[in-house]
Amino acid sequence: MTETWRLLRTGAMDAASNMALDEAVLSLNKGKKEGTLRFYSWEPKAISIGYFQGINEEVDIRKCEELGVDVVRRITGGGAVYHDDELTYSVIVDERHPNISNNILESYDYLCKGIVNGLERLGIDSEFKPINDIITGGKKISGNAQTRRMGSVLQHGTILRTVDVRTMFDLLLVPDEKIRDKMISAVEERVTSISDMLGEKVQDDRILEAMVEGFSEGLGVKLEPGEPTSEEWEMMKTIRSEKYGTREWNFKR
Amino acid sequence: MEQENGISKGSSVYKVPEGKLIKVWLEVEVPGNILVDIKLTGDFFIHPEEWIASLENELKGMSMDDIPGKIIEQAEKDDVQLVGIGTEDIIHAIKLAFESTGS
Repeated sequence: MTETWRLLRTGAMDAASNMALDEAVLSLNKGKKEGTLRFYSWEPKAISIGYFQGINEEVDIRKCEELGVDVVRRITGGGAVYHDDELTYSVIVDERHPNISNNILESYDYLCKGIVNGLERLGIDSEFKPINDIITGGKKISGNAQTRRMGSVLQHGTILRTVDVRTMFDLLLVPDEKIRDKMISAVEERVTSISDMLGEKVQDDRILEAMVEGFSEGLGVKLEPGEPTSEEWEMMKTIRSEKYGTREWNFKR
Repeated sequence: MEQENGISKGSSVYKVPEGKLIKVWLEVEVPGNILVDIKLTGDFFIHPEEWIASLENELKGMSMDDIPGKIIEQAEKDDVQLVGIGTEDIIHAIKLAFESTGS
């Protein structure tokens, strides 16, 4: 019998709330056989940096404040991401789930099948490219990051609807100002989006629908729409105020 | 090279071939080459993540010569999974940062 996983659509929230909800669901996942798939977006726009990144090495904090862009440190490793016009997802599932490999790269490959299948439904051929990207026509269209704690896996990632490399570079620090334009061109060559690939702006709902079907097929599970529990919301608020909303956490490296 | 009160500061940025970026910032006491402070940052993955802070703490106060062995020992002891980098890359990046102090 096909397993049923919970599907959450939590819409747009600020960066600290988004990261806190992912962690709350992860923290309360212990003992659950079925996983959770969550889709969300960011309001205001935000930069998230990887667990190990130095915030002052990567982010132009003053510029982010000036433009009202949130900055948050993730619980997952990986690089800095500018969350603008994208669909963000997270998967939370028991580490001992039969489909989750102990090998991290293999588990990325498995969980990324959801996105690859979803993109296929939109008419975009793509593939998982280790370490943690999904590429189409040689360009990156999705970045993903994973952590494992308390016996569960959390993988979250972005699926770009459009991409604005220039604004991203306004908010991130570049090692050398003289080569800023060159770096922008180089990244523009390496990154694409759903809209770029299809030559039209695709409606959010259409992308979401394709991704829900894609994940269901790719992961081999049924997805049942649900809501975060009141316990998860309460824990989200606590984690938000004690961690992702604090300078101590965001500036810890 | 930056030097004050017998402390040399160094840094490096190392892109692992086919992998991620490691940035190292460190302070070394001279003479003696004792690591006083170190920060390892970058876009790599280590599971569990908290290992990096405990490694940095373990390395502080050690002679630079003993650092490579200590990193390998800690990674094995703590059974960490590194993704996008290896212990040899951390060692290499630290070596580059140390060389940049001119010690």
